Amino acid sequence: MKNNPKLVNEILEDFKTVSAENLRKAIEMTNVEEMHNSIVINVECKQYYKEEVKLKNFELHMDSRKEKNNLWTRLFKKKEIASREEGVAA
Amino acid sequence: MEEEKVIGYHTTAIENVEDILKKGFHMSPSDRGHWLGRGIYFFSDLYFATEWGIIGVIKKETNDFEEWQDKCEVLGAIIDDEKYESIDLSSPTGYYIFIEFMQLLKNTVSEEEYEEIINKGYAYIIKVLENLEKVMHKKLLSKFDIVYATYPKKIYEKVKSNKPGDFIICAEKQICVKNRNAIQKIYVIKNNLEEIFNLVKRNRGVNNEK
Repeated sequence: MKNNPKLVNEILEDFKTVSAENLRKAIEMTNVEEMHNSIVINVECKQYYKEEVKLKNFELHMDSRKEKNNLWTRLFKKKEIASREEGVAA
Repeated sequence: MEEEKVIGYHTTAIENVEDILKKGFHMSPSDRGHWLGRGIYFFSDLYFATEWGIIGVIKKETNDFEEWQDKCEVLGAIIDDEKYESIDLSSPTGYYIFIEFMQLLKNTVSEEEYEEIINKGYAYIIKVLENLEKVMHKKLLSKFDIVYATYPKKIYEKVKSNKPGDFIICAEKQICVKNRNAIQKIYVIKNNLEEIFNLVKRNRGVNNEK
């Protein structure tokens, strides 16, 4: 990998132009997406786990966090949530 | 000068292979499962790709290579690291972006909020950085076409190395390709898989012993 220092410096310069308002907006967007993830997990993953997965098997042998993350991805694909950046409708 | 090419390994369910070979990889969305944000993910080591077949494709422990082979395929991708821009977030240069961004967060949010952000981990911070790009309509980390990062492998926590002169053991390097044009060729890996599977099996067995 090149680790181009010129590009790194450009990014560091860009950081100087970031307003607190924009950064807060980005954090809020991220939190909404995270909340959406949790909702999907709470409401649907439990069912998914029950139906398609032997949970005990995972707990014994698998890195459950990785599995959970993978599950999120599959569920998002399944539900075709293509524009999560627009946030969750209230 | 010969161009620098990197090989990334991506394990997937066998039914996806034809589509990937025909149309290329799908970009994974930016979520907590994808630590380095939106992109196409690869392992740099065939060992971890083989192991991912158990964890991520079969999703249950197996000692049976034939079962693994029936369900999993490892795809190799030749990634052009010379023509395209790349950054290793685990390198001092790459990590500097992180430190500065964290400082920016620290200067903006309350102490409690900052603590929460730190606790959520690097994947969350990358996601904030990606959302900041959307808010600002500006490329930041996305200036790089390929992002590398190295993770300590959780299952090997028993193996700790702190003495001067020791090297890091079992680090798992992942590659996130953000610009699909950086992938020059995709092909099916066939060689050495059974031997590697046996090593994976052995290590996972050793680590499952209490």
